[in-house]
Amino acid sequence: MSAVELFVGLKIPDTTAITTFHTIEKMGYKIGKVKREMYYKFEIDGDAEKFSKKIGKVDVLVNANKNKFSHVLEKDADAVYVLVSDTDDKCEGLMHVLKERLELKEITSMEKGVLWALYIDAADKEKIAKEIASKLLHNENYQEIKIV
Amino acid sequence: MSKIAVILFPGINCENETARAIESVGMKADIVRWNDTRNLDSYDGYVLPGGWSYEDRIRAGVIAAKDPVMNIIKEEAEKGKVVMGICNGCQIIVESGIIPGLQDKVQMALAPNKNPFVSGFYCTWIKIKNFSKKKNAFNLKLNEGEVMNVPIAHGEGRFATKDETLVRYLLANDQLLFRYCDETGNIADKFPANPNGSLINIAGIVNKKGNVLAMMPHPERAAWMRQVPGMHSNGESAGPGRKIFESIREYLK
Repeated sequence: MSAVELFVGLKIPDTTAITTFHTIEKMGYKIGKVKREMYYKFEIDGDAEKFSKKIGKVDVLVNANKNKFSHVLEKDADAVYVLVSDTDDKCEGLMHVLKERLELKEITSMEKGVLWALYIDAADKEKIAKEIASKLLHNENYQEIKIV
Repeated sequence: MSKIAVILFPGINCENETARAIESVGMKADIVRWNDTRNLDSYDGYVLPGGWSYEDRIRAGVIAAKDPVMNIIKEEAEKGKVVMGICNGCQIIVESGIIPGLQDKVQMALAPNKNPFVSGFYCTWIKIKNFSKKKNAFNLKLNEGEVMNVPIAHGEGRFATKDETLVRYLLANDQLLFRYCDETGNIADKFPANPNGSLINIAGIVNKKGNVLAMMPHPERAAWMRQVPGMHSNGESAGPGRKIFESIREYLK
């Protein structure tokens, strides 16, 4: 058993991140930039390296015309990374597509979420990021957050 | 004649049919842009219609919920004016904390649908039941236990909360106005009666005072019989959803 992570971002302008940036500013926070990526984690029964090569070519997850991807999170020092995921989402629909239609049979389970990078220039940036997340980026009634 | 403002956020797309349903019961409806708040307090009520405000960015309704116009609507609701959110409007009202409104925070969510057959957006006709024993601004023209045929069209319509005591409060306060049910009015907590896996079949919630409603189904799309499947021959007569708008009119008299 091994785990493979996949971070999928946009190479075209991310309008959701732009709107989020403006909303955070309107809420009264000083913020430099907002970035967003889709996050997937696959538990697999097989060769992680081979799987990593295959999963980056699955256009259900990565559309080469607009997306870029990596298997490692390259962190910026001045950003706080907040992962938002749905508490009861077992990704059953997506996993069915990957395993049955695209024949990625080695997947045993998967997780997904939205990874936000909040660029905050303050000593207590993690505290501010958590506050922004609780007010805007996640609804605690069905989602959870993790500072990555 | 009562005057209702239909609030148009960017991405909303049900403003015209909502205004028509309001006018069909003899009220005046003005479509008001979210950033034109001049004279907004002159209206007797506010309807937030369906659509995709801000393209559902982040999650449905949350960006509109942070807009300054919602502070005005909250203040007007506290004065006792009528506020109704339909579909995306429902999501906005819940994300703003106005519904259920028992604490000064967001107590509920409209989570992604749970449906055994269809993932994501789901559009169909369903049955809802007037579950409230109390009269409020939205059920004055409905009989207790009345079952209505109305459509839904959403991907994030599952009422959810992490507060286990909240449902008990809502039941005790008679705030669960509409619940999904089957043809006979039985609140069956299974698909297809419960089309999105909503917590105890919740389809619409009112605030404690009964002047604010957040509902996922679309009553404005069932305001004429010609809109109801199989009832087209009755054409221009009133459809089941119109009773909600008639109730608002009676409440405002």
